[in-house]
Amino acid sequence: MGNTGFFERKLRNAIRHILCTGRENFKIFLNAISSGVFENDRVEKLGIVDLIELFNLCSYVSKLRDQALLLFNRVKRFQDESGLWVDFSISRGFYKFLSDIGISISLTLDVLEGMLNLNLDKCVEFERGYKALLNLRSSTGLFKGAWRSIGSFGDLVFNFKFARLFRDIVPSERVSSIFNEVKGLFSPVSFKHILKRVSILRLLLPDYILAFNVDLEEAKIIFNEASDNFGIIKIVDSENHYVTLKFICSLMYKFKEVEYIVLREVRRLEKTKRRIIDVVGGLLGELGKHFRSYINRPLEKNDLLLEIFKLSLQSVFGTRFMDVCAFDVKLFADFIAKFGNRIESFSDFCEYLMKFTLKHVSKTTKRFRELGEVLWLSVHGARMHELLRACLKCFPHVNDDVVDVFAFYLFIYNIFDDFRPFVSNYSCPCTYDLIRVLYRIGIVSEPLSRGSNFFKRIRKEIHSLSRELFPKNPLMLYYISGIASKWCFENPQCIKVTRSSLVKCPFYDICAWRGVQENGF
Amino acid sequence: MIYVLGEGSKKMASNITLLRINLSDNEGLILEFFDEKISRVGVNKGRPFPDNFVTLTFYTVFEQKRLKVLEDEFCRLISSLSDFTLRLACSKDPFNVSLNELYYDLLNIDFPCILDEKLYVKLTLLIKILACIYSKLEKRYTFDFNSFCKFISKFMLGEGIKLYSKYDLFKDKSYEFGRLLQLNVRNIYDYITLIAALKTLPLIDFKSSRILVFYLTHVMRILDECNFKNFDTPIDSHIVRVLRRMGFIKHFRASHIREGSTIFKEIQYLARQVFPEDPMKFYYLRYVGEVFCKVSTPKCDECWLFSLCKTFFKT
Repeated sequence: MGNTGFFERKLRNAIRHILCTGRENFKIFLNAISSGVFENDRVEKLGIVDLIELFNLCSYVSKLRDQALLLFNRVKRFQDESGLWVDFSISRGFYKFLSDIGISISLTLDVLEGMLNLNLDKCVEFERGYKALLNLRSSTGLFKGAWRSIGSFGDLVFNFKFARLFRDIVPSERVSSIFNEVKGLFSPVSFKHILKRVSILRLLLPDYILAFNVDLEEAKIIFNEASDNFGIIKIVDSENHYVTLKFICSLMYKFKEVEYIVLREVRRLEKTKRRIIDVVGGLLGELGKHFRSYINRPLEKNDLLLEIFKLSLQSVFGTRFMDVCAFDVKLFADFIAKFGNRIESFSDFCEYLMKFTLKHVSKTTKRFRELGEVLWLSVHGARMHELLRACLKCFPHVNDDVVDVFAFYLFIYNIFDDFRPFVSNYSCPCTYDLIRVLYRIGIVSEPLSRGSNFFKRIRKEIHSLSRELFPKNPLMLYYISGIASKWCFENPQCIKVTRSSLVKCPFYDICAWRGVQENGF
Repeated sequence: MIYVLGEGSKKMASNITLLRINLSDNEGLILEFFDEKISRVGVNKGRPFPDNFVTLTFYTVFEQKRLKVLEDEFCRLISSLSDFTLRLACSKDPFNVSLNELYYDLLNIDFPCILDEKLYVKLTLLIKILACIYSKLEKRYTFDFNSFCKFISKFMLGEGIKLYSKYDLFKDKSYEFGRLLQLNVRNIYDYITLIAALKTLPLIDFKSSRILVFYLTHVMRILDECNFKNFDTPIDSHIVRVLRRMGFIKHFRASHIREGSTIFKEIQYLARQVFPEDPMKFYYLRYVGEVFCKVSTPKCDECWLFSLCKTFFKT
């Protein structure tokens, strides 16, 4: 696969990742790319920095020009008396490495850039902002001390941006020296090394694309080098969605081809999300039956609880590892044998489990941190869902996913009447079955191995996706894993042959993976 | 990398013997040195055990956390903190008042040190917990080791944990509380339990807890009937520096050492080789580190251990 294939895949990954886990302003922006309008309620809740970022991004997209003008009416209210836009309380992303001057320079430059894109350079606000920026420069005519601990490379970011925006006004010698410096940094010989070693210079990339005559092939190589596997650009070891989106916007501004890819991906994601909601709603009864069929004989409450516990371990670790988890099952069986008769409600269940954990599980467990948490919760009082999670996590092999699956089965079998109010506090469990389906329909990124950083990011994607699609009960997304055991096996049967008819997988027509298998990239 | 002690290495064996002899011969001098250190903050055998315990805890925390920004006021600060704690223990309901207000009400001075917010909250909690411990302890001059272990572990699991009101603050210590709970459930009350219980106090880590036990058992000797064989040696920057210069370990800083790490285990192994009956005596090396083997100006001519020292022969 050449640069093009990687580039497109990374670009799609980045959009998907930001749409799932990004901040609200980025989600608004990406949604607006396809629809062309904002939801005003969502925009009203944004803070000043989020608003400025959104304004800046929108100014690059011709389709969102009207919306950007509306946003500007909000943004200009935040200009202070000196003419700058500032928010000193901001401490996320690369802003936390900026000094107070740096924050004001960065935000003001972003607003002025947006205004220039919208041809608002004759406004009063623009002039005031520009003059205020001039006053922030040192005697050499350059910005200095914008960063807290990062040296001259950091200051170059703002100087280059300022020179690019006001190329006509700044003395030409200075502009050419800054431009030459940046061009030297990103020369074909050194740019791979530079982008890997000095992550702060990735901030320059969007401006670099806009300032110089860069062709699409070169832009693709730069994006591939600067971003990680998820297509996200990292600044000082933390992923930065703003710079990533800005880079994508600058590409969209220059190359129509990129705009088309982005638009297609956003629309595809919207369609897939709508389909997931439809599938879960439509097949609720059928999928519910499927999950209930795991325990096909009628059982008493205590036995059912034990079976559910076994099932939840099994669905996370697989049947092969049940021998390893035998001790967990034994501990839970002991608990049921001791307290089973006294359990009548969910709160009883949690309280007795807490007592059992403190008295018996504590003798053998090596999960001291979780044990300490249970102790603290027992003394200070806790909500039941917190207690259940903390207690179960003291068992040797139980993790967050097992707890979530356990909660899912409690919900499905409806064992306790008072469990329903706590459902919204759990998150969707990330089992292999679920990930397989979601990955194949192209809504989460490619999974590698459990325990790696990739898996953490995929888990984050799934959690935020479940909260977005089913805010009242995120566990509902787990119904999708039922499709994995009906159609979407490791060797999938997208059309199932039954005696009466051929049954297609509900995601048959939108499945990206099936398309790849049949048609190639 | 650690210098691996070969069992059959004759040179190492002789070095270990020499180290033992030197430290044992000067035991009186070393103990006097430590005694003098802690007497500066008002700790002596004439005071009851609870008073000494509270003061020593503050002293250890301040010493190990390098809070002696105000060097001159350091000793005065600790003695006033301990006085403050004792008065706090006698007052009726001190736990709802801020530290600064109480400090001013009781001692008529402002809090004599500027701390950052996190440290301030932790110190406040430490003072409150120690005040509670003080009010519960009997006013005896010495204590039985095992009964003290039992008392402090039960106290921390029962009342101590209630004082950790913030979950964020507690999260640092949840591991230690879990470990203490397990020891308590298994009915184990020995040196390990005491260390685990002390580590549940805010601002006290694996290093300061062991140093505190060293002061209580070896310098003050106010905890009786201990089996010193199971004890560990405290490891601080002085010990690490001396060992590094003598060639027992290579290129390690004290800040890099964590409890249970390989280097930690190796130093404990070395301590058991030197003093099999009482490994905590290995901490006597701190005297060498502070008096002779200083950071920038080592006095190699005066040091007793020059014959073992690799750096001495190199320079």
